[in-house]
This record gives sequence, C-alpha cells and structure tokens, in this order.
Amino acid sequence: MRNTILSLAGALACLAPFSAAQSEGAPFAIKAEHILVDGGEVLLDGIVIVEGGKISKVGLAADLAGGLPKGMPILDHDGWLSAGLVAANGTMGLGPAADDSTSAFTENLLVAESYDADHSSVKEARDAGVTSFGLTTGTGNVAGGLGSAVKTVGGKIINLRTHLSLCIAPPAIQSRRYPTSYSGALSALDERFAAAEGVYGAVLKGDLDVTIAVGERHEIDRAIGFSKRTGLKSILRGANRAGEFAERLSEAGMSVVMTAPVLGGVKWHTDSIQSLASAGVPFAFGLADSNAGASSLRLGASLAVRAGLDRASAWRAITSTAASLAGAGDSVGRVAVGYDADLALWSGDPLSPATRLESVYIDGVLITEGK
Amino acid sequence: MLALTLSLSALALLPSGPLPKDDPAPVIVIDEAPAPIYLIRASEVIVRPGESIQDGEVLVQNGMILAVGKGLTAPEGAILVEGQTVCAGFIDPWSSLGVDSASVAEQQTDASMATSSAIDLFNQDHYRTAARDAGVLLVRSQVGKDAWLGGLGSVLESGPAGAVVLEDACLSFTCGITRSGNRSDVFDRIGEADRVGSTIASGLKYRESQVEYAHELEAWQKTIDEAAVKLEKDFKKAQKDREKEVEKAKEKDKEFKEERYKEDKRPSAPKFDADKEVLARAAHGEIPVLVEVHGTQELRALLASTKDLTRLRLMISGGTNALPFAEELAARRIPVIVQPMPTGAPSSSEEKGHDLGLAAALADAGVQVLIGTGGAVAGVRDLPVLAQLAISHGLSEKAAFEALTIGAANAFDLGDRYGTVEAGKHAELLVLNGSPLGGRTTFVFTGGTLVEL
Repeated sequence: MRNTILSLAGALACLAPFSAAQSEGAPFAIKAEHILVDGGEVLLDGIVIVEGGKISKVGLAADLAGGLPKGMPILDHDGWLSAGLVAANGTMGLGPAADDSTSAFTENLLVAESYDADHSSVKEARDAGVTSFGLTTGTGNVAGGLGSAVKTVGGKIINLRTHLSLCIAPPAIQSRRYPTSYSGALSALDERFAAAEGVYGAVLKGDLDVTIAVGERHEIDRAIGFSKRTGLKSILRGANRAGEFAERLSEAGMSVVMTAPVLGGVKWHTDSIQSLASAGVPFAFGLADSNAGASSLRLGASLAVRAGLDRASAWRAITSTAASLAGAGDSVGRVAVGYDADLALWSGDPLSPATRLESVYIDGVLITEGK
Repeated sequence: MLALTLSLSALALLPSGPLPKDDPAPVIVIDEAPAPIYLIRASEVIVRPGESIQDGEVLVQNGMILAVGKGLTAPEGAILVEGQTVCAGFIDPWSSLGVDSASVAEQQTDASMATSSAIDLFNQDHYRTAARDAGVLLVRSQVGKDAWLGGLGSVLESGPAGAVVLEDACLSFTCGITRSGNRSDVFDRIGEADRVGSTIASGLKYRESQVEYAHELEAWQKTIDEAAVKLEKDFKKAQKDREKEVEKAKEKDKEFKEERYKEDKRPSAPKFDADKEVLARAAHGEIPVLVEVHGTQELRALLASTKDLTRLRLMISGGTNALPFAEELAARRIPVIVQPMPTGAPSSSEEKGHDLGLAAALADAGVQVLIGTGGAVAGVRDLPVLAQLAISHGLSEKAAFEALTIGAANAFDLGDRYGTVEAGKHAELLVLNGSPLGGRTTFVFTGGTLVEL
C-alpha cells in the first residue's frame, strides 16, 4: 500500500483511524493523483468524498479539500482512483444453477434466487476489481429467465429484474427437446411476444431489457431480424463478431455484450470491437461466456487499446456502458455525485497491464486491500 | 537495401545481335547506390536497461548501428525518423513462430534435429507480422516443442523475412509436461528429468572418445614419422644388406624372402554420431540446454541429475514450482523463462505456472528471469503485455525490460550482436510513442529494413 492517511491540517486532536472510520459508514474522502471519472476524463489531484456509501462530491482537491468538515478522514492515494469495474454480464455465484435444463422456456426463473455471493467465483471477481455485474442465466434455454444487477459482496441486489435472457444458438436449441431448430426457436419466441403476456409483455413495454445470446454470424443476423420484427432494442450477448454488423445494429438501436479480448486472441475480435465503436453501437465486456476469469475484463480492455481502440470506449466497456447494459447504469460505473461509492484504487493507469489493483471499496466500505 | 542499377551508357555498349564466341564479354558497369542512412532522433534513447540518453540520436545503415549519442549530425541524404523512445527490439526466448507446425508438434525428435531446417515462411504470415509490429523482433523457435528431447532451437527474425540469426541456439528438453492432453504418472515424469543428466553425460563420453582418438592418431603419426626418418637414414645400408641376402639366396638356390616392414596399425576413428555430437557440445557448455519443467519432483530430479555436469549451461522454462529451488538456481546461475499469463481456472498443472507473481519472486531471490510466450504462435505479439503483467505483480520495470532484450540475447550468446543500442550491433530497433512496454510501436528496424506502422 502506498496510501497514507491524512487528517485535515490543525485537526490532530480529531485524527480518526481511516479504516475504522470508513467501515462504520462515516463520511471520508480519498485524494488521488489521478481520478478516472468516466471514459477518458481524468482529474489530476482530485478528491472524492463519500457519505453514506454514496459519492457526495468529486472535484479537484484544491477546490474541495478546504471545505471538508474537521476530522474527516482522508486517504491520500498516490496512484489512480476509478469506479469499480462492472462486468456487463456474468454467472458468478450461480454454479450449475445457471441453467435449468428441464425446459427450453424458463422465462419466469429469477436468477438472483440462485445467487451465492460467497462463491469463490464472486470473490475472484472482487479481487480483480469487479464491484458489480449483470447476473444472467446460462445459454441452455431459449428463454432462460430474468437477470439482475448485483454487487460482488454481501449478496446485494442493485436491481432485481433487469432483463429477460434469450438464446438462439445451439446450447439452447437441442435435438432432445422442442424447439430443435432455429426456425422453431424463433417461431416460439414470435408467438410469445405476439401474445405479450407476463415477462414478454414487460419487455415490450420497456420495463425489462432483453438479451439474445448468439455466436455465429448467421445467428447475429437472425437476432437482428427478430429484434426489428418485434421492435425490441435487444442487447446481443456473446456476439464477438457483431462488429461485422455494426451499421445494422446501429440502425436497430441494439447494443452488444461480448467477451473481452484475450492474450493470443484472434484479430477479428479486436477489429469487431473497433467497428462497433466507430459505428457508435454501445458495447461492453462480460464474463458470462468467457472462461478466462475475471481478470480478463481489465486485461481485455487494455488489449483492445493496444489494438487501436480509443481509451474512453475501452474504459466504458468495463464500467459505465457495462453498467448500463447490466441494468444499473444509474448507480454504478462512474465516479459521479449520487453514484454508489464502488471505487478501485490502482498503482497506476488501470488500462495498463503493468498496473496493480490496491484496494476495492463497495458502498464506501473497504473490501480488499493491499493486493 | 542494396540498389543495383545498370548504367545506360554501359547498356549502349552491348551489341544488338548474338555475340561471336571469341569476342570478349561486354563490360557492364554496375552502379551500387549506397544504402540509405537513417538518423533516428528520440526524446529517450534507451541504450541498455538502466542507461538512457535524453534527446539522443542513433545512426543506422545496412542493418547495423553506426553511432549512438547526443547531437549526432545527419549525413547528407540521411532519412530522419523521429519518436519518443528508441530501444532494442524484444526477443521471445520461448516460441515456435516461423516453424512448420508438424515439426513443432513432432514427438520423435532427436538431439541433432535442427529448427532451422523446419522453417516455414509460407504460413502464419499474420502472426509474424503481428509479432514484429508489437516489437518482438527475434524469437527462439523450437521443433519438437513438447518432445522430451526436442532438438536444436534456433533464433529467427520474427518478421516476414524470417532470417535465421542463430541456428544452434540451444538444446531443448521437456520433462513431465502434459502431452496431447495426457499427463504421465509421477515415476515417468521424474524419470524424464533423471534421464536429462545421463543423456547429456553420454555426450561427454563421446567427446572423450574423440579426444582419445585424436591423441592416438597423433601418437601413431609420430611413430610413423620417426620410422620414416629411420628408414630413410638406414636406406643405403639396408639396400646393400638386401643385395647381399639376394646374392646368398641365389647361390644356395633358395628363394629370397623379402623382409616386410611392419607398420603400427592406424587407430580407428569413433563412429560419427550427430546426436552425440550435439550432446557433447551441450555437456561442454558450448550451447545452452533449455528444459521445460514445472513440478517440484521433476525440478528436484533435474537439478540433481545435472549437478555434476559442471560446464553445462542449464536454463529452465515454465518453472511453475521453481521458487523453492531459487537459492540453487541463483547459485548455479540457471535462468528461468516464465510465462506470466492469466488463464482463469488452470486446466493443467503447467498452467498454474502462469502465476503472475513468479517472475518477481524469482528475481527477488536472485534468479535471472526471462519472459516467454510459451510456444503458441498467436501469443508472440503479447510478449510486452506479459512483461507488464509481471511488473504488475512486483517485477521491476528494469528487470522486465532486461528480460525482453539483453537478458534474452545473452542467454543465447547473442549479446554481442543484439539486445542493446550500441554502435556495431545489429539495428533491431523499436521507435515508440511512449515507454518500451506500454507505448505503441511507430517504426521498426529489422533485418536491414525500416517498417513504418
């Protein structure tokens, strides 16, 4: 830890141990050499003030430090501060419960009911700086259930019902149960959306997002066709080749969640990401369809930058855009007033692979330290 | 970069019809255009790890560094290349780039099988280009990547030209690794490590038999030469004695029996064995021996089986569980090539070796650490990222940069030609818009050519 604890000048009598103060939910502040607010915006010598687990102020230390109440603990961090990372999707903490294989349509299944925040996969995500993610189903069902936005500590649910999870790819389309073909799956979905009952009606009304898991190019094509037909602004899931359809996705108002680029990965993946960025299609990285581990999120963003993606888009893909696509864009993913104090302290620029995660705060509480 | 041009005036001398046979050949004048000189100007010229020149220049011609310094003046006609940083190109000491994939997968390799004979420049162009563009200009590639005895590794240029820089860079072994998804039992794995020492030692015996033969041959030649002198000296007397003996035989009507000179038998040369030849070179430290090994028991067995080979230059790749042996590795000056690559949940025991902290822990214990990409061709371009990941877990930036440049060059005896930015060395250079590991490569000098990215 390169952090030092300061108290306001002349207030030695009120000096409070930093960690004790912040863990009790008392207000505190963190000064940092760099604060990555959102996208490419960086504050030099900034300060973040946390009250009641929320960010109450963000600005230049020179502007804000003088007005802090006496005795407020201040952590002085000589590295970078950013929002905690957000995975646009993930199945951490679900284990085998990610899929219910009894039926192709389990649309009312509420995936949060199977969420185990103490699972090792959730801890791994937390240790990689991921503070929240879009909890989603596996891809074994055509309509898999309802996803949630959750935090990686304490089982806290940010938003219980965020999206209906669909899949029109082989994991869901199986020869041993109906539907056994793409046309069968799409026909069944068309029927359900035409009836507009239950969760399907909620999706059509805009109360729920809808994600469609696809892989191959023809599946992306089918998903775009389905979305246009039903008028849904769907979020494609696992569509690493989506960039090849960037213009059509943009026209249809769709978004994409893909796996992050990996070491030794294929060039078309990073090309696809850059095409989405150029076309203005919102995209973010998720963990649900990756076996590369939670650390792949930040590493993937830095690999995308090495491959030519602009820093702002890469950073948003693992924070603010990811939060929006996970259904929690109003509360996490940015260092902004009113947002949850989910913060990560880094030894340097978080988009550099040479940078180490030092501390993680969730709702203003120090969760991991000294990594 | 040699431009050859035929002079027009000389062409005019050429006769238009077929040449009479007796006529002298026409004179053709060839103007050799001088190779271009490049002046690289950068805010920082990193000469070697820990030594930089601020606002410096590097002069390059014909693929060689002519001069490095501050305030160098550009000769007339020099091409100016500017950037933030200039440094030596990176070297991946653990790769299979540029080699025919079947040869890489070959399991029945032997000691003398040479990677340089399995180069394939007609495939994987995009991987080689990506490696070059990422600044990885040299690779140690290996046939028989997963074979117990993989043969001779070579150092190649990564770019499309793929020139061989060093044919016999090292002799390669692997011990106890998972091959084709199968992991052998512990006794077999330890046995593989045990046999490394005894196999290399067989090269010693071969070399001894060669030395013994050389001595015997020398002694034999000396005896023959002495006998020849003596025979020459005694020739006239011997001739008279013979004539007398011939006369006597005639008088007695007997057949004359020629006294035959008995020559010492020439020593026979030991049978040439190309594999033993390579093993002998390895045993005598003429080429390094690189062993991929991960498990504690295999490492212990390997170190024990090679302990008495005092001239052996052992290197380890992988080294998943090398930390408990750090003291011995440091004392025996055995470098370890690590592969700091996060993999999520490890699927094989070797992948646990992708521990990002291993490089720093070994370096802290005094072990020389190198960084390699592990042999997958697609990953060579990520070498600088692996170095950054090692930095994120405690390896110093200087140590990481050294591992990718002069450290790797020295490991394969290339330190006098590559790995630093010094006059007289090959101009395998990177020009970047930032730091060597984090910046973007804007120009690459490799194989005598300049590539703008």
